[in-house]
Amino acid sequence: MWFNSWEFFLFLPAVLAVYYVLTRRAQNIWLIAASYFFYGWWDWRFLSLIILSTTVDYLVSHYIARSQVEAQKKLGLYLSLSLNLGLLATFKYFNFFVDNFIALGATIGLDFDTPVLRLLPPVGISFYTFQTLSYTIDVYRGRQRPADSYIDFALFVTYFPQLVAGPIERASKLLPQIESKRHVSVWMIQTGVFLILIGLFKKVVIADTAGVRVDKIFADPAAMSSLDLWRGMILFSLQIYGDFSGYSNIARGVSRLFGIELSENFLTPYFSKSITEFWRRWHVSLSAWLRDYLYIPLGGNRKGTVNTYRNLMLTMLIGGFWHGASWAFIVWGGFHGAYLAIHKFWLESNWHLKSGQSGVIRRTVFNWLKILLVFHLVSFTWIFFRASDFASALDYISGLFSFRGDFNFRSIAVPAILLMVLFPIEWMQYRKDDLMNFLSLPSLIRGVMYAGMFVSIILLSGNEVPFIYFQF
Amino acid sequence: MKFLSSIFSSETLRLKDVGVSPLTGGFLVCLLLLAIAEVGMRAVLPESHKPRGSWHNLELRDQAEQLREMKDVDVMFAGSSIAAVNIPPVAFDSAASELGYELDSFNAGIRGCNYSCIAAGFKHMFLPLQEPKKVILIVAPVDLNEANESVIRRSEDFIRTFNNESYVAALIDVFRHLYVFGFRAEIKDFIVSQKWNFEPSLIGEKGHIDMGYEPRNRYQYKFRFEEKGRIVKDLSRMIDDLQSRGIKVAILPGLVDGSIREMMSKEETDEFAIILSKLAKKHEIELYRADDLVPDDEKFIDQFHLNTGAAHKYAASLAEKIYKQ
Repeated sequence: MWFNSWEFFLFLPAVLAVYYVLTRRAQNIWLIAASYFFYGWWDWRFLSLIILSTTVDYLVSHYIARSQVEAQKKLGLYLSLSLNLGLLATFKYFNFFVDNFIALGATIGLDFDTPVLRLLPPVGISFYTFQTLSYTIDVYRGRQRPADSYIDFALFVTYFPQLVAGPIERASKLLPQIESKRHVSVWMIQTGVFLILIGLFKKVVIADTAGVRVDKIFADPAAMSSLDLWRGMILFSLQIYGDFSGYSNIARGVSRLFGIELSENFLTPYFSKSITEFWRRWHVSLSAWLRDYLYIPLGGNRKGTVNTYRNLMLTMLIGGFWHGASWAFIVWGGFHGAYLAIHKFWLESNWHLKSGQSGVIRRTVFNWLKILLVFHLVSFTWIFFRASDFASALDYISGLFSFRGDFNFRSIAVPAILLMVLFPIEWMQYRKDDLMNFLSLPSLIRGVMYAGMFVSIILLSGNEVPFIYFQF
Repeated sequence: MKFLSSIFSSETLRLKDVGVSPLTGGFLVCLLLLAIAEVGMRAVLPESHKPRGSWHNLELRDQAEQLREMKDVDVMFAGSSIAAVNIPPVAFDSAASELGYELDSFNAGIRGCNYSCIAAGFKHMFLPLQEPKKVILIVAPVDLNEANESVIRRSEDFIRTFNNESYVAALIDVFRHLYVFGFRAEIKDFIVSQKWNFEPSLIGEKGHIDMGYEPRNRYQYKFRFEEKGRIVKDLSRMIDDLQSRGIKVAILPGLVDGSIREMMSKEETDEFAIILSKLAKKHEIELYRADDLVPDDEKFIDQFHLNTGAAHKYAASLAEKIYKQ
């Protein structure tokens, strides 16, 4: 069930209506039932994986908390890690490993090309696996007490607004909200509805409009002019941002209607002035997860310069692989790892101090140049993200720089319009650091904005285009 | 408002917050603007126009309604607009009657579709209403063309609408009454072209679409036929389905004008003919040969559709050809 589907349009009010009249404990049971229904809409068989993961992690967390011996705690942790990562490896990466094994065999003359089991990856498995993993690791580290109630923990794992595409919530933030009484005030409803509206606007108006053109350009890059390929690259940057941040906005908005606050996942990332800043603003819950549970345990920046670069690279490569079982995602992660390493090297040298700009105008110009540079560097890596495979990504990139075909500047009208539409929303959020600042605008402006967004959504809605991040 | 707040408030839902009104100024301005837009649309649009929705849904509704009202259908024509426009059932029935065959035929052609969506539309819309004794599948090169992306996309959209649950369909039906929603396709067209492009339902008698005599635009096409492609497979499945219901099936190559025949290479023309022959052989059905009936190019209003008069003549001569055999 997509957030932008008619089914969800009926599902949400029905769930809310019952939710509001129940007691806290009954509300949690009701939300679990609703979440299982929401998830089972795709394929009810995969519910068994969530229930298995929930049950094992609940039991293991209590075992870890009760154990006095470090070895027993470790045993519990390893059990949880093996189960969760095992499920992820089996259902998401099995086909990838088999294909590469066959390809490797072929290079040394061995024919493994026999019929193999093909598994369909369950929706959102990467998200809920990381969420439960962080819980178990935090319990092991003594930073989180285990959930008292199985019901509460089950809701922490399956809470439907964030189940399939995040934000990846920490137990320390979400569990206390689940364990206590919720109050939904008028303000929460207003902000919740506003977030849903803006999320739908980003999805339907920005992402889906860009998506139609992106599909065409990426379908046959060899037939496109270089200008079209540049256009496709920029449009995909807008599409993936509109799609994912739109989803996150809707998830937060829906959750507010239940009186539960979810983390902000996007902090105007395309205004980043460095790649490091970009990763503090893009998919915040994933980058924080990778930092806390991968980069720092690997040693972070505490074990010398070479190891710091290695850790950065490893973290981003694994981050890339988390997104999908394909070499293109690994290369995408590799690029970001390299960008981060280069930026770190730049910061540690004294060169950036020498290049510092004085004067307001020069500094502003310089900052905008940095923003543009980071945006294009990031957009470039999205090619690996979007292309059907690694070879097509390389073809696309060679086309970008071949400067072939005609330069029909009218074709950049759509990206320009989409940028103009998105810019004020992003700028407002960037300047005040809070999307809710829109609500402090005069009533007239807000009313015009709401009506404009609402009508645009109606006019541009048609097909229920799935959210890109649901596939991860 | 206080009264409503007190009704809907609960321990969780607290609508009675001091100093905060559930209806903000922004919300009210928004409602007002939407109301103005709705009233404005109703004032601007002439009453006779109905929204075309995601597809020619009014036309299809009219067509389905006509079929519902018929008692027994002997022959049903299936296909795209090439079927719907070029074969008026009235002319077909009257010519058959002169040869001593009292028939009641119906045209179930669906505009703008390839055979994937014709198969879906026929199965979900027309067959539940009437199961005819015979179905004549009108198959033109454009109906099996795997190279026309826009038709393929449109067809997929159309097929998707059949997967909607009934409650979703009902919900859309309710929203359709709002002009801003119902006429969204027309509003989008207007924003781009500054013209109101309405597509009235052209349904004539017995499902026939009458396009009149006005010449229409002509386009360039590329063709690609795939014997094992999705469209041919869907057509083949449609034939299987009809035969499993005990309905006789025949194929008639659809009309195209000279420009389309020229656009197709010899290989493409042969490929198309081979696909039809193989389908006929595989399902043991009749493949009508009616090349001698193809009207001159000036009888076409575009590359696929005959003018009203020529369509009546073509349908009559088709009936003669079929029933004289």
